[in-house]
Amino acid sequence: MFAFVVRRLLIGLLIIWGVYTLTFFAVNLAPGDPFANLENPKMTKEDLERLRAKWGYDKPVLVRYFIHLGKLFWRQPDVRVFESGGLEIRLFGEDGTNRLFATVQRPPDEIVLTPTERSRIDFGAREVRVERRPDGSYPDADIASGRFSVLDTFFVVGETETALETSGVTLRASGGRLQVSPTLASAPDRVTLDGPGGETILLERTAEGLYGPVPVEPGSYRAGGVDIYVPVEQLDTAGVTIDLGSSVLTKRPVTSLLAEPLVNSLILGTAALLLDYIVGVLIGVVSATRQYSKLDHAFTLGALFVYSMPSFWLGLMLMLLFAVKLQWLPSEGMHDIGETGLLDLIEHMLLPTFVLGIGAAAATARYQRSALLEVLGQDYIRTARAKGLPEGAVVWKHAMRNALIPVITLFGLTLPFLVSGSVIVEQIFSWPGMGREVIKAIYGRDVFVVSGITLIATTMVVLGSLVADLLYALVDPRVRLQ
Amino acid sequence: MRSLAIRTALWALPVLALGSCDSGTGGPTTDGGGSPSGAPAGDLTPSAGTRPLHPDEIRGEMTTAFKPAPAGATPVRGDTAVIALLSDIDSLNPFTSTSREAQEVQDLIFPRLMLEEADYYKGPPTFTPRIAESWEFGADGLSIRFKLRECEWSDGTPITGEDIRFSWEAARNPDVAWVSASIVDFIRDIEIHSPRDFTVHYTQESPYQLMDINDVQIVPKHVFGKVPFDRWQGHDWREQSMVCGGPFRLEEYVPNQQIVLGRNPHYWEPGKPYLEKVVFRVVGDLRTQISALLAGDIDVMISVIPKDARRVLEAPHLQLYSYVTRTYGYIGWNCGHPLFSDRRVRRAMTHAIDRENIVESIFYGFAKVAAPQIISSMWASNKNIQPLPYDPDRAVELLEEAGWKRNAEGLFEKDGKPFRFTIFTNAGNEVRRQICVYAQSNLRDIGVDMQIQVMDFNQMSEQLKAHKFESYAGVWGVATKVDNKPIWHSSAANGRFNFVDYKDDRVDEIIDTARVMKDFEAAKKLWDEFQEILDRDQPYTMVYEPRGLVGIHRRFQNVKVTSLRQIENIHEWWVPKSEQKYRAAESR
Repeated sequence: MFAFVVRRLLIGLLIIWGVYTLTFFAVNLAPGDPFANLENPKMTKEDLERLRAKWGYDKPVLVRYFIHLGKLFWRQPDVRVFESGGLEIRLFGEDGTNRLFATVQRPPDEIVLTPTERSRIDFGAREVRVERRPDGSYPDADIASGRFSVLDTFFVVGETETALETSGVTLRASGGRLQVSPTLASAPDRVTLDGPGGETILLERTAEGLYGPVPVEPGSYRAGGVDIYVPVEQLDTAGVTIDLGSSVLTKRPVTSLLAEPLVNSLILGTAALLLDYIVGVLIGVVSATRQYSKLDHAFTLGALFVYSMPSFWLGLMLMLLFAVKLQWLPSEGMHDIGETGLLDLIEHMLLPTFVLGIGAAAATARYQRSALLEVLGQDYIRTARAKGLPEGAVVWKHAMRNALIPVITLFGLTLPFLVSGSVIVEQIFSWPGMGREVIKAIYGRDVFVVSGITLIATTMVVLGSLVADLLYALVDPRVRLQ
Repeated sequence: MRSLAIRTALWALPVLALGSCDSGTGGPTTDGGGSPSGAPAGDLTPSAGTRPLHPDEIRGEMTTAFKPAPAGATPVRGDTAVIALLSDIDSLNPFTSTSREAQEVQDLIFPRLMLEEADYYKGPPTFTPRIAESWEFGADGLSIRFKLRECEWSDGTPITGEDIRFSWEAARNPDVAWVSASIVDFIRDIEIHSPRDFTVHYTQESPYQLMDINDVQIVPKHVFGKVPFDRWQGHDWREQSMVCGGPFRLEEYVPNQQIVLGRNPHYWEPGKPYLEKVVFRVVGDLRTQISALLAGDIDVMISVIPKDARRVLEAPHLQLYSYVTRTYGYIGWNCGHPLFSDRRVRRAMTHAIDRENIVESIFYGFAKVAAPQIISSMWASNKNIQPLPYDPDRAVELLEEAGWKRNAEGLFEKDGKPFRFTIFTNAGNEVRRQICVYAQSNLRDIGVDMQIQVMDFNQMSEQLKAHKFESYAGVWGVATKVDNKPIWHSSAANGRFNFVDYKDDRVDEIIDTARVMKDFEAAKKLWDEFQEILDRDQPYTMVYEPRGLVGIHRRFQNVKVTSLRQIENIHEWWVPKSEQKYRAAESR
């Protein structure tokens, strides 16, 4: 039994990885990406490209896959980089506190100033290239007005003088001429910082040419004209983690994004599942034991009717009746404004639970009915009856054990729906669950959210079918788990 | 508000979410654009032949629908407005969010220097003071000096020029990756003279200098500055956004459910806002939204679809506000495709499609037939251009002139090939699909076979950009700035939005000149000519200009709905004491 469970779990892991990978590529290879529907005439192409790059979408899909897989288990250290007066200042966490150190920036060999789309189109700005001479200086160049992207930042050139300090060089433009010079002529002996309390902090140069590192208290520091905010908590260091990535559409980590919808879907799903199996099994048993009676016919007809009714239609009709006409029940959401109580929740749950559960109950009832009918026709049931057992004991104790097996299979397969949520019902009743997240994520090509949801759903399928197998053994002693 | 339009996928391409916008807007007939003299509402009565005005419709003849408070009534405090959002907001930070929903919320909690008025029908938009008390252009036209009024963030910290400078730095910072960063391309620097006195320096003169700085929403430096710029994209801004500078402040945000805003006691306008709370509820389905509106569970529904307008008008507790939107729907013909390279064929298509019927049947009268390329509610619109008449006979004539002949089955043929093509429309947009169906039957009547292909939005936009299509149904949202370069310039055929591959030298010339002209009278003349050329060439069959419909509970007084912001003045809404609904909220 133990070996069985372990084997199944290992296979399950493989399945989960496979499905995860498939999902990742399916979403990525579909046309478009999360940014495609932001595109519009009022936005320049490069602004969009910058946003894409920010989220890693400038890399090929295979590279993104491995980056993502790596990030799933390995946390990158949180290092914050600031630039000031030809120095690069880094803030990082270590041994329970945050530390700062600075290095001198090496001026780049070549500087390319690329005009932004708007500057190019509206004012005819052109690309400018400046190369460093062997002696470390840079030649002057002609430059038109406009905004240029240079060394990962922007430089705005106007009719009056403008200047920019970045990556160890200072750019200065005036009267259509561009002058470039290294910001620092030589490495200084020390770096000064203004601390949060107005005190001055000196970082002396070490033998390796570094300044620091020194531990820093939380608060705002200033170096040159640059603000450095040190948070209270220690910045992350590298380490083992489980990280599903971040949603591009909502900019939130997938784990925290899905936590609440998962719980909400579970609440609704569990209620619907209870309704489904309690009502379904009961009706199934009643129909089977009174086969071809008026009650059986009524249930059969009723089940067919409910089962064929699309849930969006049923939902809207019930909403029209109970929320709009009678005003007994709320029309949408999980809670009224300002309410958080259980009663309020139950009020909001009634309609969606009914719509979600009743269709499934109709199906369950049909399965239960035919399974029980088959069992009731078997020899051992006749034997039980011949021995004079009361009908109740025959049905519930002897017949049901076998008649439940198909229903349990069904049950195991239903479990994943608890977490994947019902897209239609959640949409109609504005239930903040997983179904709505899935739709939003798929349409928006929000790959990490889709992958995250798939991960959870696959895990549930694997566990669900395992639970179903274990339940077989419980109801039917003939089944041996090997 | 240009930025609003910019960041709104809704306004853009045939976007998926458009199901709502484009069906939610509609409108017959004001003669939309305002008279050439720019006279407001008076002379813009609904044209003959449209449905009579319902007494419960507050109809904006131009861009604004306004229900003033009863004369002599004084505003009182209290009550809550519950507004439905179609989807959750993507970020509270204006520089990292891209959704229209988020913009609605941000507009209430973060201030702007000025208010862009919805008066673009009479000229380029004008601005009225908000937290900027006054401003003055420098003599060289390259700088504007602003004076701020005395106002505070909700934590009591004063709002200063430093906050404006910081917000501008965020807007332009490549690490922040604001999708509209090009708006600030021409702002060179912000120079601070004293806390409430600063100058914005520009590198270039342009007609939209005030708009450029006003599109930068102001965030508090002392709070937002604690998060380094390179982390802005992935940051959860709930904690920082608790410090607000608009009429309301963030009280609670439950993702996917609701955003609760409370009165900001530090707001600068004395006595305002009157409402204690504004609650945004995420109700992701338009059918549910309308049920919730009718049931009284929500108070404001921003995009009522024309089909539901009657239900809103008949509900005793609701009022329908309608205004002229800044969108138009069209069918684009691929001018680079052999079928449609001939102008006569494109004109024939327009003549053959009964647009009047489409507007009446799909929009229930809440739209008008579009004609000039610049929408009729825009100052630059050419008022002389009328829709080409629905005239199947003329269409047949034109096709015959272009060398097409009808075969035995009545279908047009040329060199043995039948006139058969496909129109693309994106999945999930019912209005556009219906338009295709109507057009299909019109075209079949004259002997042209049009197939409809419904596609995934992303797939469709890739095909359009590559010019791999014959025709498509689309919608554009229009900025309050008249540009046209990204759609009609020949350079825009290469990866931008000139999907129909339209090329005309004179059009290029006009666009390049007129879009940066400061003299609007002169620009108007050029734009008029531009529209005449496009009307002649018909690269688009202009189909409809819709009205926007907003359903709002009747108890709210002093409500103004505009095409720039549907809840434009919610800080001035109020409810008479006897009609207040959410009293519990008030006592808190």
